Parts: sequence; structure tokens; C-alpha cells
Amino acid sequence: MTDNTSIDRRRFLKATGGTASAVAVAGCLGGGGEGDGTDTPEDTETEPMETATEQTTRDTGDDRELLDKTFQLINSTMSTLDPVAATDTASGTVIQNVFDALMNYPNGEIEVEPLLAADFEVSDDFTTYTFNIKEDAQFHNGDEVTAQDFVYSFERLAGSSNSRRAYFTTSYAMGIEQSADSDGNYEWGSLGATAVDDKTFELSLQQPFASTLEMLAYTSFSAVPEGIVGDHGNYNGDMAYEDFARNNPVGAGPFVFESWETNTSCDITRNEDYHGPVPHVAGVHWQVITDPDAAYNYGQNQNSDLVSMPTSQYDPSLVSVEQTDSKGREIGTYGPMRNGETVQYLKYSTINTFYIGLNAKNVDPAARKAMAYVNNQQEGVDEVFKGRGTPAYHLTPPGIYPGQAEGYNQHAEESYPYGYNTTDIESARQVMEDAGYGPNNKYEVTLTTYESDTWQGLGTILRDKLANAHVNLQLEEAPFSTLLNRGRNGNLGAYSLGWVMDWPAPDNFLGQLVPELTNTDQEGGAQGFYLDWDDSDTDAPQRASDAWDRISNNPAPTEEAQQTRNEAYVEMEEAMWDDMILLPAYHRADERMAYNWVDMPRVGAGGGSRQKLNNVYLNDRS
Amino acid sequence: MSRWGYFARRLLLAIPVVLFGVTITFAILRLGPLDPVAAILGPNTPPSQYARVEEQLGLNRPLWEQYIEFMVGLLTFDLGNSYVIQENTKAMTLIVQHAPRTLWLGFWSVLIPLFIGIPLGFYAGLNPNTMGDYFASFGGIIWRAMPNFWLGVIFYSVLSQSVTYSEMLTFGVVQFQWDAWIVTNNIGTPPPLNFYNSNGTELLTVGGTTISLFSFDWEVFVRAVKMVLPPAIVLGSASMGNEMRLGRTAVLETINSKYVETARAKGLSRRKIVWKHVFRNALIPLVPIILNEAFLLIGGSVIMEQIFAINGIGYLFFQAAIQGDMPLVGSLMYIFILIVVFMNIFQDFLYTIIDPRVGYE
Repeated sequence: MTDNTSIDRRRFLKATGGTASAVAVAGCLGGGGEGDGTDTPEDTETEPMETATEQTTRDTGDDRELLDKTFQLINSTMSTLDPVAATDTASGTVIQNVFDALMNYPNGEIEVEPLLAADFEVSDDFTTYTFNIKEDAQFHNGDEVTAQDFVYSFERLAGSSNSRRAYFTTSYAMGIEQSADSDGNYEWGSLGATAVDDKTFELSLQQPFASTLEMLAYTSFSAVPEGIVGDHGNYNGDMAYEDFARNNPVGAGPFVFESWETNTSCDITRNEDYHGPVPHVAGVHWQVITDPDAAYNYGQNQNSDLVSMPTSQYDPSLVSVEQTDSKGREIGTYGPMRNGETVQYLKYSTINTFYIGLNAKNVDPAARKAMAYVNNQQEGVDEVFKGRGTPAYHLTPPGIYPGQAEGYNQHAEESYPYGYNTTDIESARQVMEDAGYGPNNKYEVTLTTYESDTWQGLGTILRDKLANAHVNLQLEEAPFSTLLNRGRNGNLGAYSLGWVMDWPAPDNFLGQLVPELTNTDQEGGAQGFYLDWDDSDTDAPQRASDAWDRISNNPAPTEEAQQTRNEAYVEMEEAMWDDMILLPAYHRADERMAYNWVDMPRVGAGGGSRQKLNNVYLNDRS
Repeated sequence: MSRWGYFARRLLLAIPVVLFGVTITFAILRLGPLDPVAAILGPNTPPSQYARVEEQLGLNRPLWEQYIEFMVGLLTFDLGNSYVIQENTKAMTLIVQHAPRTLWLGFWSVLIPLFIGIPLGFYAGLNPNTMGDYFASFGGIIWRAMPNFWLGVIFYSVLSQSVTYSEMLTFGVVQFQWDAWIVTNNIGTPPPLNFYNSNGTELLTVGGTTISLFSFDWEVFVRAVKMVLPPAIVLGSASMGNEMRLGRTAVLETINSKYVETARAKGLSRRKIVWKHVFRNALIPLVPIILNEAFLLIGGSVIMEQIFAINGIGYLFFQAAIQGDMPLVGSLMYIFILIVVFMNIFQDFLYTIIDPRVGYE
């Protein structure tokens, strides 16, 4: 849904995979701590599902009611249907429903569950994962899903020229064993992914990686039939790559691909032979609409079953929250809307952070701190985003912060050095005057934001406040690709960006902040955020580096290693504060508004794009 | 100089113009900060992946090599696959997919002002300083003054709430629902253009003889027209006002000229004067205006396509441009440039037909 002008920029938030919280991490830790714990999927077949409105006892078993209605939705521009090539949320949303992976975020919930895996085992040293694949699972072409298919799929991810997520398999994330030739290209057949037999798949890692199971739920790791395309060195391909990525993607997911007309619409239909709960709805139709107002009108005309609500049309006073569930999701109603209807309302936190990066080379340390002093996160969220988010103080979002939201808030309230939810112009002026600036000697700095009304709104507030603290802030907007290019090469001062998790652990966020990686002068530009933190004169970058070393040296999913990592995470956050190299602005909250005839499970912190739609039920539209 | 010699020269002179245009396009895209690789990968991706994609797209090769390849690709109308918008799809394929709806929108947005604006203008010119003239002239100014981006949003919003507004305006007597009127349709989104099936024929038996007809689906056709009308009216509104004003002036100017007076003196009927003498001469200043508007056919509809979620060529061009999608932008620019250049030549040609006094010296 393109329901927020600040986020519907194409390709902004690319994460198509997962989200999980420390709960999920702890969950898999529990299993890991006991050695080779075997995990079996929970019996979800008979469990009543929670829906946005109430608990229903709708049968989710074999004799499910199959409707002839199509679920009507809005999507933004999709670029490909190949799971290893997709980087945008729009493509990921469709891929999620056509392809299945070993693991899954059930309804986008952060605690992963086996999907194509029947069960799995982890070795004592946490480097070998053995998966037993479900017996009755088959692809849309009728072939059975085997371990060989997974070997092929994972090798494509690691080595295909079409793969845009090869780094998920390297030491950047999972570190699956593999070797490269002298040119640095992946050597076919070298991946530590083997088929022990038809139904047993083994994964060997170079070293433990705590978020392995969460990572495997990412759509990039989806199963495709062995040898279907020829971009794998050892196969000729059953069909042309263009065909697979564009016209005929074959997966094992709950829906079968039907058609896709570029920039117009995409249709998928029910997979009657699905190995899990067969979808209630006959299919899903996505209309491609990128303009927030057009999407709003489309929803108001009841052309889609979910309502798109751009921030400009959003009225916080129309929300009435009836309950907050155990996961902190707010459930209630929204309305009456323009068309007179009142709809089901669900608000849930997703795992992301939006921030202002402050390049150490290009922005004076005093100005960086002044900006933090004058910024009042709560005010920004309330005034610009109409409360559709939570104020951010850390780079790590509350859902995965050590100690969860409680630990997050406590640490922020007690230790945030620049005034917790306050505008402190006095201190900002002081820090600038100490650095030799004054009314006749103002410091000039440019804040470059991506094309977004909301960021420009935040920038305007900052500019007006900073004018009283001897800082002259210029606002500038740039297309997304330009912003990234300039950032990577060190040509930005202050800039706005966001990070949405690839995997649900703080190392995914703080790993971008490692001072050596933020150096924009190196070959190819910055490897992490565009901050040049290594150029700072203080001891903060060194502290952050040391903390990161400790994180890297304790990768195992054990309680003890987790404890060491958690302490180091907090140290990195504090080092970031001390130098004010990155000013966290807000964590986005997602909302779902559904007409009353829609009956679907609540979404988890993974977000709507990770929810498979096989449990959606539609009552009579009226 | 003969007519044909003149046009041969015009065609030759067009070549450097086209070359210059596409070279500028290349320079802006490749020398500026637009980065297709960043657009493909987004911020969540480490640079090792950047280098890989750069190599795949050939962006790490010397610029002159890329330039030559680009120019050769243009000449053969084959710039290869789109970089960003849809990898693995030829840029030309994407353009062909998106073109029909934009042409459909452009067609109606040229047609509407042509058949409303010009007759109104002529009417006003023939009846100057009457109530009808004031009404038409004032209307022309208003249409001219309302900006497209605003009018489009208003149209979409009002049509979406047609029931509420019709009840409000008629105190509950009339309940008009635009999207259910005649045929049901969505208010935004691309109009269906499959009303004409070029392969299929329908057999019709009339009095014992069987005639084969091309199959034509009237309902889909009406839906396609109905869906495109609001954005087409908005898009044509400015030119409608323009053509109305210019038409009025042109008619006034001709009607007061000496030869019209002569015609009247020798007793020609008013009808003959207007149609034979005034109409044709008044059209001359309108020709360049109308032809310039023909550019709407392809490129001028970015905003309307966005507002009404039509997602045609204009939308494609904008997306490709901000994401540095070289093959797509290059192909589109090339086509735009060619159209503009040829439109200019065509305009000169039309002049000579309408007004034989125009020479080639």
C-alpha cells in the first residue's frame, strides 16, 4: 500500500525478507542453547486465528471454504518476479505469495516458523543446519520440492548474474561456505549447501550466525525448481530467464502466478495443491497506483479491499483504538471516512529507523550537536507525521533493542545527551558559540532529503530553530538514486535516509555504522552509512570499532554471546551519540485499514509485504 | 527553390539537431549524479554488489565507448534492456507497452479543444461583443487559467464523490453516480484498449448473405472513452482556452479585412463569406498552435497520468529519468526529438497548403 508519502518512494525500503524481534532471537537461542534441538512446526491447522477485529474460529484445515472472490489491493511499480533479483517491496509482496522458502514469518510475525521445512536440526557448533523438507510440497508445475531444488536456488542466489542479494550468503550476513575464482566470481558447486538425499538439505556456515533462521525466511532464499533457468553455471535452463522473471515464475507458494502487465496490474490465483492452508480467496489482484491521492480515491471508491490513507488525508482524531494486544498492536476503527464508511484499523510497529546522517568530514561537530539539541523527536512525529510513528533516539529500533521497548525507552530517557523530547536552543547556541560562531558568523550546512514532503517538513522545523543558534540550514531535495550516489562518494553534509532490517537483530543496523566502513574515500565509496566517522577527532569512533570487534568475535546464538553483544550494541549507540554522527528521527509505524467485509490475520512487525495472503477471508462486500 | 528541394534541405538540417539532442541526453544522464546502480540496489546494499552490477551494465567502461554504443543503439532503435524500471525487458518493448494509453489520452486531449475551442472561438469572433461572446471569452480565460495539476485533482475528487455532490447540489433530488453511469468503470487507472480485436472477425448474417466484420466491443469502447475523458478534458483545457481566444481574434481580423468587404459588396451570401473566405484564412495562425499541442500525444501528460493512475509513457519517462535508466530515457528522448523535429517540418508543409502565398525563399 502506498499509504504514506514519506515511504512510497520506489525502491526506498527494499527489505523483502524479514523482521523479527529479540523475542525471535531469544526463541531460536533457546533451541540452540540445548545443543541440537529439533524444532517441529506448531500445529497451526486447528488453532483459531486472530483477526484484526476479533478472534474467529474459521476452519483453517483441509475443508476450508473456498470463495470465488478476488482480494483487491494496490501495489506500486514492480520490477521483477525473480526472488533473487527483486530488491523492491512491490515485487517482494507478490513474490512472497508465489514462492515459499524453508522458513516463514507467519503473517509477517517476527518469530519464524518452518514452512517448506518439516523440521530442522542445528549442530553443537551452530555452523551446520539440517532441514527435512515437507513430503507433500510441490511446485506449481507439479514437480515435488526436493533438497536439490534448494541447492540450485541457493547457488543462484550466490552466483547468478541476476542475483542482487548475493551478499546475504557471504560473511556480510550468513557466511555460507563458498569459494571464488581468481576474478572474485562465485565458483559453481562450491556453496556449503548440499542435498544429503532428496528430502534432506544441509547448510554449512563458516562461523555461527545468530539470525540464520530469520534470514532463511527472506524471499531471496525461496525455492525454485532445479534447472528452471540457465543463469546457473551448470544448467542450460528449461526456460529463458526473461520468461521466468516476467511471464512465468514457478514457485511453491500459496498462489499461482497469472498475469502481470507492467505499471498496470498483477494477478495471482489460488494454488489448490498448496502444501499448507489453501487460500480462501480465489486470487489476488494488485492495481499499480503510485500517486498517493489516486490510491486514496481508488480506496474511497471501494475498488480495493484495503484503504490507502496518505498522511495528507489522514485525520488522527478519527482513530478509535479499542484494544492493544500483547504485541503492542493497536486495534480499533477509523472513520467515518470521506465515503461515509468506518473501517477496521490496525496499527503495528515495523522494524526500521529513519535518521539524519551527519557526515563528519563535511559538518562541523558543533553544528552536529546543535542540530541534536534543537531537535525534538516527539514534536517531529506529531506535527509532521501526525503521530504515525514513534520518536527515535537509537539507531536500533525498539523491537530488537536489547531489553526491547522497555530497555530502549529507559536508556533514551536516562542517557540521551541532547534533551529527551525537548528543544534546547540555549545549549545549541552555547555549543556553537564555544566553537567560535556567532550572529555575524553563521555556520552554513545543507540538509539533503530524498523527495518527500514529510522530510522537507521536518527540515523546515529544524531550519527555523537552528536560525537562532547561528546555523544557517539550507534544504535541498534530490531523487533517490542521486542522493545515494552522492552519499557514497562523500558529497553530502546532512542527509535523510532510513534503514529497514534485512534480518531482525541490531548487528544489521549497527554494522552499517562501523567507522572504517563509513569512510567515503575508499575504493567504491562508503561501505556502510555515508558518515566518514573515521575522520572524527574524538575517541568515539575507536570505541565503536572496539565494540564492533566484540560483536564480531561473539557470533554464536547462545545466551552468553548474546549478552556480550547486547552490551557492545549499547556502547556503539552511545559512541554515536557522543559524536552525534547520526541523528535518529523516527521509527515508522504501519497502519492497515480494511473494509468491514475483510477478515484477515493481524500483521506482525515484518510488515504487510511479508504476509502471505492465504488466510484472508472476504465476507459479502456491501 | 522547389518544394521538394526545400524539404530535402530541411531533412538534412534536422540530422545535426537530432544528434545534438541525443548527445545532450547522454551527457546529462552519464555525467550527472544520477546513478542507475543505486536506483537498482537501494541503500540497504553493500558496495561489493554495486561493483558487480556496474560491470554487468557496462558502466565501468570508458565513457566514449559507452557513447558510441549508445549512438549505434539509437540508430537501430535498439538500446537493449532497461536498467532499472524492468530489468530483462527491452526498452522498446516497454515503450510499446505503455504507448497506447498515452496516445489514447493525447488523442482525446487534442480532439476536445479542437472541436470545442475552435468552434467557440469562431462563434465569438462572428458575434463580437454579444452576451454569447462574453460568455465564451470569459470561459476561455477561466479554462486557460486553471492549472492542470490542480484541476486534475479536483476532477478526480469530485467524480469520486459524484453521488454526494449531485445530492448536495439538487437538494437530494438527483443521485448521479459517475462510475456507474452508462457503463461501470474505475475512475482512475488505465482505460481498457482491447475494444478492437484486429485478429478476430465476427460473422454476421444479413438476409441470407454472411458478412464478416471486425469484432468491435462497444461497451469496452464506451468505457475506454469515459475513463479517458476527465484527464483529457483537463489536459486539453489550457489549449481549449488558447484556441478559443486565438480563433476569436483571427476571425475578427479576417472579417474586417478589405477582401471580405469586397466579397460582401459583390453580394456573396454570409454563409459563403464565412466558410469560404473567413474560415480558411483564420485557420492559418491556429496551425502552429494545434501542431505544438500534438506533442501532448506523447510527453506532455506526466502529471495527468500520475493523478489518474494511468501510468503511460509520461509516467515511464519520469520514473526512468530520475532513476538514470539510460536505455529507456535515451529511447524516449530520441523518439520525442524525432517527433518534434518532424512536426516542425510537417507544419511548414501544411502552411504551404493552406496559404499558397508562403514561399520557400
